[in-house]
Amino acid sequence: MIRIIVRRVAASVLVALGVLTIIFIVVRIVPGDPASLILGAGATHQQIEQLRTSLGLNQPLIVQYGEFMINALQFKFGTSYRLGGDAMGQVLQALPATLLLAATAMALVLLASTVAGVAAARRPGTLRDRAISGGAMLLQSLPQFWVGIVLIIVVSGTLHLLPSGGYGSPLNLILPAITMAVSFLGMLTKMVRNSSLEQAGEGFVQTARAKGMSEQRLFYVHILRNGLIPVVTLAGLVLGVFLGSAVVIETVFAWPGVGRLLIQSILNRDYPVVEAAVFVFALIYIGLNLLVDLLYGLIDPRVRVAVTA
Amino acid sequence: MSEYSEIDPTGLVEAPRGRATRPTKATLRERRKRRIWPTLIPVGVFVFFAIFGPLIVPFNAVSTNIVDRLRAPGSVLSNGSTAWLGTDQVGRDMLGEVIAGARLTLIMAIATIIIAGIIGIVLGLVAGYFGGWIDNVIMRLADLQLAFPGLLLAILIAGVLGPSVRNVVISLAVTRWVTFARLARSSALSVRKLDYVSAARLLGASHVRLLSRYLLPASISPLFVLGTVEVGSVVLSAASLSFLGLGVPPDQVDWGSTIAAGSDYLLSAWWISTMPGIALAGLVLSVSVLGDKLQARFAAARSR
Repeated sequence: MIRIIVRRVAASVLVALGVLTIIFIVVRIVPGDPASLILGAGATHQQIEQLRTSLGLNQPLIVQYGEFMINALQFKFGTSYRLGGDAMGQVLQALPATLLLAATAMALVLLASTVAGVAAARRPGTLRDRAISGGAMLLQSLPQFWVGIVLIIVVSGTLHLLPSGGYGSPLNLILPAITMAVSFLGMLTKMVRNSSLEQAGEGFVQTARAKGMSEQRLFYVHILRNGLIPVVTLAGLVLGVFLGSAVVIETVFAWPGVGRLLIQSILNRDYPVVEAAVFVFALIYIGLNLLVDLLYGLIDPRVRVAVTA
Repeated sequence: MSEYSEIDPTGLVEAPRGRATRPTKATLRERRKRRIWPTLIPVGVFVFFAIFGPLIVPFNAVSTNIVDRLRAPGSVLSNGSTAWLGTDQVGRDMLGEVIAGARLTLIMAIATIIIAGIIGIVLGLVAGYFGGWIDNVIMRLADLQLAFPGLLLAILIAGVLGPSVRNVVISLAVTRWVTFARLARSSALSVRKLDYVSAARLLGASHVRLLSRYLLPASISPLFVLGTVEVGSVVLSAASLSFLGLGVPPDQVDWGSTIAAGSDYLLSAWWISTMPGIALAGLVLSVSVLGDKLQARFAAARSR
């Protein structure tokens, strides 16, 4: 087991280095000359040359890459052009808001999808099941940012129930969390339903039924427990995907998290903050993937055996 | 019915009759479930409007009409025409805008799928066919892209390149090839050791010929199904980029940019953001229903 853990952790570190390399290629090489971008169209040739020297842009690319990697591994991405202060500091300051939003959405999704998925799986093929499965598909098709906008129009505009955006009270949290939850609600509901139904056809279920176990008990004790295994592992990944969708949702609701910071920094060409924000998102995602991988082995011993063998 | 039949020219073989040959109700229901053409209709409607809509309802993205701005759906404009879906913040007819958006949205999605598909299929087949270090390099590169959650890498690339239709396609294609590559690779792995491939190799077929004439045809139908399934999520991604201001430039409209423009008027003119969103959800839903059907049909064909 320890050997597996060490190997997985090492692989994750390599992936993190790869992510930094992609960030370096996309942000430092693709857009052309950062110095003229920073200074804008009105800059003189001399000013540009000066900045190029001070940013180290006249050095060979490989040297620039080495310096970037060494600094990045110490979380140093430079100073924000727009906000001043350390770029990584700005990102870490915005991080709690994003994590709060993602965690709330996560709780919502897990609760609602288990309830809906169980309701569908208890009576497969009935009207209730078909309504839930169809609804799940519809939810998956809705564009997230548009769901947020419709919620604002209806809940904030017409009904005047909740604020349309901002940060501070729990009331502000409700609409963005629902928006974030919606599209994964469909996916996870389908998953709870299908994986429970899959378990229902297994031999151990028939054995338990033959022994006279009540259908109720059979479902909750045997079927659902096994059916939830893939859901638990998927949940970790969904949390990561939430971070990706944070960019859009935080923009809709003016939520002061890393996603909104990232998009504002991109639009203002504030690249140190962009680099830091993307790296933080990717690191959390890689960490979650690793955690899920390892947890999977703990929850389901069959996987552990398969990996070692 | 002609009297002469090719299968039975003598006409002596008695045609089987009776209940045994008639499909049972259950098979009929099963067949109806598998039918693909009903799910093609809604997709076809979107495609039709994307192609011919701009001819029926003309739309000019850079024209403005301040007198008729922010009119509610169904109101009569100053020139006597009716704006069935209302007008936007600069007085453009929303119906025309949604239809023009359909065209651009579909163009971006299809271009992305084609480019991502070609990159993915080539890299995937090469990885599966050659194996070894080539396989390792390509597939680790694929893993690397998946370390960016969701749209993040596309947002980064599109943000750096600046807003344009071409850049949306580039940033999405660069992040979407992985799914195609994985499928093409696994299919190449499953057929490369089969007799017909070995036979062709013994006859001296080149790598390129083996890849294009022997491995590619074996994997093309699952890849086609995947391409259909992916259209929905590419449409959503493209719209998200436009919504964030990283998609189409201001002199063009797609659904994402219209939704973004309307978000400043949510409480006074709800229709600007709502209408293109309904179209977007409708398109994604109809494409995913079609994709599901294709997948089911394909899985059934395979298991037979």
